[in-house]
Amino acid sequence: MAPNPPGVKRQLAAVFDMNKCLGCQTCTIACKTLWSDEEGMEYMWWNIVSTMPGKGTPKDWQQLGGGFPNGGAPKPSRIPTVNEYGEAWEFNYEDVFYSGQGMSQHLQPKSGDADWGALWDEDEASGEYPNSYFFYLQMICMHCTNPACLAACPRQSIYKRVDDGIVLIDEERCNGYRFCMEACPYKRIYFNHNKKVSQKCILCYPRIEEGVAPACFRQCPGRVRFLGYLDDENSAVHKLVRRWKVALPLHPEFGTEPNVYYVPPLSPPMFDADGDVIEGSERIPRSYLESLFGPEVDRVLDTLTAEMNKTRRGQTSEILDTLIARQWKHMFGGFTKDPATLSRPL
Amino acid sequence: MTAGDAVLLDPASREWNAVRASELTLRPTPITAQPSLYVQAKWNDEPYGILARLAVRAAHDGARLYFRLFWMDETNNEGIRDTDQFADAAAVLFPVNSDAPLQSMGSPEAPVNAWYWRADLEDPLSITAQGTGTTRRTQDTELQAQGHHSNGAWNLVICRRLASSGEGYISLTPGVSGKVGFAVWQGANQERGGLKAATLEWEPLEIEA
Repeated sequence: MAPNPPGVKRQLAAVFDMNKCLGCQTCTIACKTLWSDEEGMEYMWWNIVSTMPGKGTPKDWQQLGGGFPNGGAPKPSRIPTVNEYGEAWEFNYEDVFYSGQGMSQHLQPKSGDADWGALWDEDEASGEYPNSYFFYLQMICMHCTNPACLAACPRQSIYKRVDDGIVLIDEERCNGYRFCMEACPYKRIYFNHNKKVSQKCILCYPRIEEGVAPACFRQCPGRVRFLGYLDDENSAVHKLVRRWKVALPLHPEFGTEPNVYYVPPLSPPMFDADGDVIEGSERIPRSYLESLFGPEVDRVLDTLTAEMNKTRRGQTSEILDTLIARQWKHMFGGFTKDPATLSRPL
Repeated sequence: MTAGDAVLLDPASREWNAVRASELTLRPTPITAQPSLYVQAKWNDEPYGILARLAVRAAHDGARLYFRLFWMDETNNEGIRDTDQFADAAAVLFPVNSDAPLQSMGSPEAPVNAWYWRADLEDPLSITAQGTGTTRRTQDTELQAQGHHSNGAWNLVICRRLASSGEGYISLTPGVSGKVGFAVWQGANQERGGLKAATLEWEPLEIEA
């Protein structure tokens, strides 16, 4: 068994099964309503589900730099603008619905013509019909083992909890310098315009402390999200990441050792010019998936395909049974307490 | 110098015309002194601490010590309207005891105390530090500031009661000489934290009896 990362006793980790994601954004709204619905946080999406291939949120974040490429020195980046994150538009509801101008005014942001938003390219496919494709990428803070945000902060305002490895920003210490927003290669940190501090996903640590899975995990209707300590051999996370190795970090070359792992998406087959299925073909180019998850993605997709073939032959697959998650309580590494039973709402 | 509070707190007050200005040279804080490798990597080849000249006037009225800082700045960055915007700022730094090192913002044994003004904040802040990256901000009701931007320049008065009993705050006494340092952050250049133009050595401060 691999040891826990240096500096922490245990590391909580997540596995997101991309094959099950519906793109419904229930996770996104669960997070928004719980944590970022205050003034100054309007544009924040600590959790968001992007359509891939796509520009993501903030726009083109994969090309912005940050992190420690290939384990080396910090790579300079920049702070994305609100427009790149996606402005929280106010709409002209009054004009359209209540002022008798419904036939002449159309619904639009009050700030004028928009050319980008947080989910601007949602459900836009790549490839040529009838072989077009897209899939969903679920993004939260990666709670990295080697967090670039923590290293960049000149004030030690960011810390990694010893007991569970959750990365948190101490808002009392934060001076709003935003070096963390630059340094994070996943661009998962936002600036609170009211409090003038940086903020991000906290992995619902107040729920974790009560034995409750984070809101985005628990609310997911597709049972996409697994939670657990990496060293807990009974947890689905441990099995998927460490034992079967079918879940991979996103952009491992960024060098921050993220603790969110992804089961990469399998592809439907392609059609030929006559509309017949091309056996053994895959619509999502392996090269594209390698650009996201590194060269290991080939082995993982081959493993998943082999496991599916096993079940088609009538055999059982422990890997697929785990991923299917017939019992939701098996997904959360013991964090299965009902939030409704807590003394305060979380 | 004797005058009422309200008069000297106004940077445009004619009372300031009688006060001699010291023209100070500011320099960027050294890149090697920046406390994070990310900041060093990002700013190694980028200019920061770009303000070179700061005109400083100082006066007291027996109860309060005033500094008037004047510097050229074509852009008025008085608000943070986007995630990548930073506000103009300035600070006056004192050693809490005379041994405190300036460039490292004090030391564990010898703290420094700054009066910090930032254009987007309603009130100035008192800052204490005991080494790089250790600054702590506190509200200090004794601290007042007025900053005005016009004709491509900032004109700022920041003042505080001479005597102070608070821990970590500088207490100043007329007739006793001391030391002082200054720093300016250009918001338009994304200057914040250690990215600033500063006096790299203490300047003498004589408070006339």
